[in-house]
Amino acid sequence: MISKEEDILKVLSEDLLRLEDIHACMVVRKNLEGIVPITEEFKAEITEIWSMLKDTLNEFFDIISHYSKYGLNKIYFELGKYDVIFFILPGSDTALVAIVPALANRGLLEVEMENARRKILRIIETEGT
Amino acid sequence: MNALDDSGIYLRKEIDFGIIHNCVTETKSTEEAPIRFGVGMSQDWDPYRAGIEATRKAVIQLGGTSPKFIIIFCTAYYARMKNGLGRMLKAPEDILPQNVHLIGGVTTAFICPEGCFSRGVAVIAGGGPGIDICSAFDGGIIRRNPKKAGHIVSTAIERSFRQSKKKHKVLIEVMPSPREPPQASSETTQSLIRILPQKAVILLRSAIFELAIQFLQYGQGRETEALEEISKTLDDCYVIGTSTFDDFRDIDHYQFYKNKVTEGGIAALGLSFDNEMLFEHEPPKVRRSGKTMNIKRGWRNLCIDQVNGKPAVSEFLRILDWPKDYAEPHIRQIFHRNYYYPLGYEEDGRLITFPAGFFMGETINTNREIRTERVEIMYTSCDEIFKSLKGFLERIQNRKTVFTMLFDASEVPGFLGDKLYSMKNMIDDATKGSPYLIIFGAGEHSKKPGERALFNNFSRVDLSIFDTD
Repeated sequence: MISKEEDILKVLSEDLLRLEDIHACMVVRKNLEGIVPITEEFKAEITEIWSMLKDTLNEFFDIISHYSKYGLNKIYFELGKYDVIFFILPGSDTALVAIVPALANRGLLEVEMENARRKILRIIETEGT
Repeated sequence: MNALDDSGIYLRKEIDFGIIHNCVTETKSTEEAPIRFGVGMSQDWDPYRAGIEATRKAVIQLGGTSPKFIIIFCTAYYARMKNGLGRMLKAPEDILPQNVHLIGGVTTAFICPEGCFSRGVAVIAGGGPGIDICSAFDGGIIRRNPKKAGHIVSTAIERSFRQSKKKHKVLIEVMPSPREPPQASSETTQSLIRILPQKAVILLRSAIFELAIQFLQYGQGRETEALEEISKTLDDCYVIGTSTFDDFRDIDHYQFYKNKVTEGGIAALGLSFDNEMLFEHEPPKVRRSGKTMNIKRGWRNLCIDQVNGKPAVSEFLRILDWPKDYAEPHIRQIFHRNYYYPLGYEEDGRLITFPAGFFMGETINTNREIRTERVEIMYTSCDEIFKSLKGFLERIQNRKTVFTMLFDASEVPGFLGDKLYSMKNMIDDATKGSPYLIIFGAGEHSKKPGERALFNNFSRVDLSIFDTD
């Protein structure tokens, strides 16, 4: 039986990472605990700044865990040539996170991130492992 | 065993659409003749499988009625694969009867009953004895000769329309939007612009753009001129259309006709039917700033060379109080900011808006023939998007629709992102399970009988066809 983690990993790898403008994505909480595809799947461009990005985005999970219960839905920040987008799973301390080039059209990526978030929520809500 | 069997998705032997109707010749009209539509989609990464899945889903909704036409839209992802569009168009060819009319093009995003997508394929299928169909193609000449392109398409459609006794004649068309000429934004050109005097830059700009539209299938789409020619021939018809567009990279927007893929053509489909319908061209969803600019137009009136008697770009930035680096040379960069501050003017009592697009040196190069020497800066508005949509949906929600199609502006998904689902929820409520498709392109085209066709940006064109009950 395929576990929920594997199903979510499939959404990340198949639905998001194959998009030209998604350089990295994951479903994580503070300290990047959660579901992260193998970093080899991330676009080569971000590997050199990955540790800086990781530290920065980690800080945002304090805000997410504080304000998620009030309906916090999305957070963005720009770091150099990249945007980091957090789509928060409703009422939780966990977010679908994507790193995209600053030049990309964020709106178009959000449409597909929302589709991925909906799929992930369906996987989480289904009964079983 | 054929390729379809191998895909495991759809077997040719399962398909039985019955008699093939080439609808141009089918002119018998009955008052309550049913017409049927279906809308399907796919996000399969393989273009052939995506084409098969979306077509199959759309055709199944016809309930056994033979499809007479399909309209296929896909996002730019498939255009960037080797022969991706060719493989996608092979799919309906393989599974549908011959002589099913097909048009379509590349789109930025779409909404259909299955969801909101900025990657995927969407297919509309239609058929039934209550609808007569014809189609035409200009041969891919709109950029270099838009009047001739409009004439070729409209006369072919008009000839077929004459054979149909049905009440409403609707032309659905797909045209190209501007493609950024790589020669205009190359490093070499940018270096030249920095050292050349302004007059020489203007000459260089005009030469590059003329070369681009005449020979290279780049540059402006020239929709206005083509639509005006179409208006002359199809005066008593409705026209609804979109300018193809990609994911704001402004490189890959193509049109489809039958199994052909073109970079600069008009693909047109004529529909005749008796059902009642609602057809609206919503005005641009913008707010006026009151900041006006006197302009000096350049090259074919498609460019602005001066604003208030000063170099156009510097003065435009000064008025908006923007830093110089906002005047980016690539259209992809422009879409981050400038696109949301269109220019506009009134023509025949209608507000025309267009993006202050591609900057080349001190010139602003737009996507339309500007017919005024005074334009105003506009603000796009999320609020106006929802207000305008609500107004249209209120007019259809108490009717039984058989199909609804909206051609909306590409900035809407760019604006709304995941909130596109709020639009979808509104449309779902109003259409109550009947098929619909919203396409987001780089220009909206419309015309009602007796009116001149309108090409606009930041607007929306709506068509709802009602059941005969």
